Amino acid sequence: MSRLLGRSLRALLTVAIAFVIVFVAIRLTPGGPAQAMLGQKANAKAVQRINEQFGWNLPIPLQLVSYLWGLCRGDLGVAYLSPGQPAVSTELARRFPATVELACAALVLAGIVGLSLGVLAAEYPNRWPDRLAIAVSSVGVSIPVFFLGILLLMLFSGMPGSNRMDVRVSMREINLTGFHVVDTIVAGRWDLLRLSLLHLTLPALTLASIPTAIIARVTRSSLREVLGSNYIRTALSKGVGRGRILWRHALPAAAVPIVSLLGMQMATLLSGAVLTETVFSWPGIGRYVVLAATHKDYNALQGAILLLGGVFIGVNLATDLLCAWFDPRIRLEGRVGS
Amino acid sequence: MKRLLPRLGAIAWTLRLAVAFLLLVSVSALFAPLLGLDDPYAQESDQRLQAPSWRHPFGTDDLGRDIFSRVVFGGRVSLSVGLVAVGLAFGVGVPLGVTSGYLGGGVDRCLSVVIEVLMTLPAILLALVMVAILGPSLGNVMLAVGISQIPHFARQARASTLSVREHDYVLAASALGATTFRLLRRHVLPNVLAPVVVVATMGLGGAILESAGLSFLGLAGDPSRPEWGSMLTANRERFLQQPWLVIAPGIAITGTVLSFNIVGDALRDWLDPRAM
Repeated sequence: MSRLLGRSLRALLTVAIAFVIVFVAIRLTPGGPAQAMLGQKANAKAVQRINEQFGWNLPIPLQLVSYLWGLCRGDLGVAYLSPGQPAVSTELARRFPATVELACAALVLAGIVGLSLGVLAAEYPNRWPDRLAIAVSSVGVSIPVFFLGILLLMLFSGMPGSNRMDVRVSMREINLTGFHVVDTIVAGRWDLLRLSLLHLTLPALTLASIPTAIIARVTRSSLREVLGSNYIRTALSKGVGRGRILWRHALPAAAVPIVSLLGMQMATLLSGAVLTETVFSWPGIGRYVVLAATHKDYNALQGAILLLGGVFIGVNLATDLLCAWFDPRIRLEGRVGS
Repeated sequence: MKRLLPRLGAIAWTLRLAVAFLLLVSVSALFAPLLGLDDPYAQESDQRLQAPSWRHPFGTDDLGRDIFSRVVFGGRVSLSVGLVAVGLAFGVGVPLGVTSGYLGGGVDRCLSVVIEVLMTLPAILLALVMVAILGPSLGNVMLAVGISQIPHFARQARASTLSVREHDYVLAASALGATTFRLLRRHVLPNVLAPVVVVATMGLGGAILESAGLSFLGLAGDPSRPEWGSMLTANRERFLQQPWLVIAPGIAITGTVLSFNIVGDALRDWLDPRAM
């Protein structure tokens, strides 16, 4: 229990340090954040007003304390450059479900395709399923996701994959959780469910390319190692069928590295969907960070970074704990730095 | 020498293809100004959106610029971004990892925290923060990609150092009174380098992929510079009518990254046959 607490504290500390660095760096922008936001030609009065409005004229430690106080109350400031100056927390909460939905869809796709490819490759070493798995995993990690996204759009140009806004509009009356797939099922609107799944397909395929490649590769090597071990040979010599060996003996033994990999991929997907969301104009957090950064909307930027960093570390921590629960041989302590 | 280098006949065709592709890309990038290509910046208003032909092998874009020449010159940008970023990550990460692994204790714990903090922000987020603060430029992209790769080098160097420092020759040198610095430089570092070279080869591919992604987002500044990622952004609206505009730079990125990964894999298998 104390180990668990230690791990969580360490994870929290990592996010806190990363966030403080970002927070301070923004305030050390040459000429000050207000100047950068308004441009070089901004007059001194406007800069002064922005500084007062955001408290940027206060000492940095004081700003940090006041930001953290706001954070405790769920207040991340306002997104200055968005129309109507909405609260950053509202904006993030509105966009986060779209990112989670996309990441989950991509992970499910990657899990199914990657696992099947990996299992086939391990079952038929050096034959065509193996070669296919190697080819898919090599190309999957090498092709830029934005290029893959554009290629898929090219291939399926008739499909409504490029924009989810039209679904968003017609979803207004049944907006329960913000997850379109869940909302449409709960409301029993099968026509809208079909539409949301269609919109989800191409972005999810694109985002799934890297995790599919990595899952296929790890499943293949992990399963091959297990299939070569003595107890599998014993089972074979006792006349156990191939299928039973695979499902009952080999896969459970090979599962721990795969589960830990799935968790790591989930963390990467949640925080790294920036490019995919940009290609498909997906209204998630990734797209929001790009807009905030290029428009120098600092409140929005630091709020989004805090959320994404926290999610990344949180999912990684959860994965580690899950693996330790699955496999008591894994010492919690030993995995921290590795 | 015969035993050290694998025989040419035994090398897989994928590896030969990868090496050939990398040679092609790097030689053409290195000597691009001498190849007599069109000026990658020159706009010919009567040559807009031409389909591929003898005159323009990959066609022309909406400003009448030759895509073939822009892809070749783009290789200069991508390869140099990759080299600078990996050089930075190597220069910072390896000393960090070796020191951390050799000294252990409090130093190791502190440096591990630094590395974990670096890993909290993926390269793209780090670059976005840097661009928001410093403005978009190619230099910032190199810096961001380099910083985000430091953990890979540091962790590999640390892991190798942990195993190297247990060897008797390190103990012997230490018993002869060698200083820690001499020990690290003469005995530990040379034996740590081989696996780090593998990380660097893979890292080059990764750096090119990441930097292309960042310039796709428009974070590399000047959009008129021939660069693979920004060529994709500039022409993504035209992919249905003029597919060659996105296919040429896209294939260039994919091929280069794939080749670096294949060579890196082969190097790893060659250096450590047990890992196969």
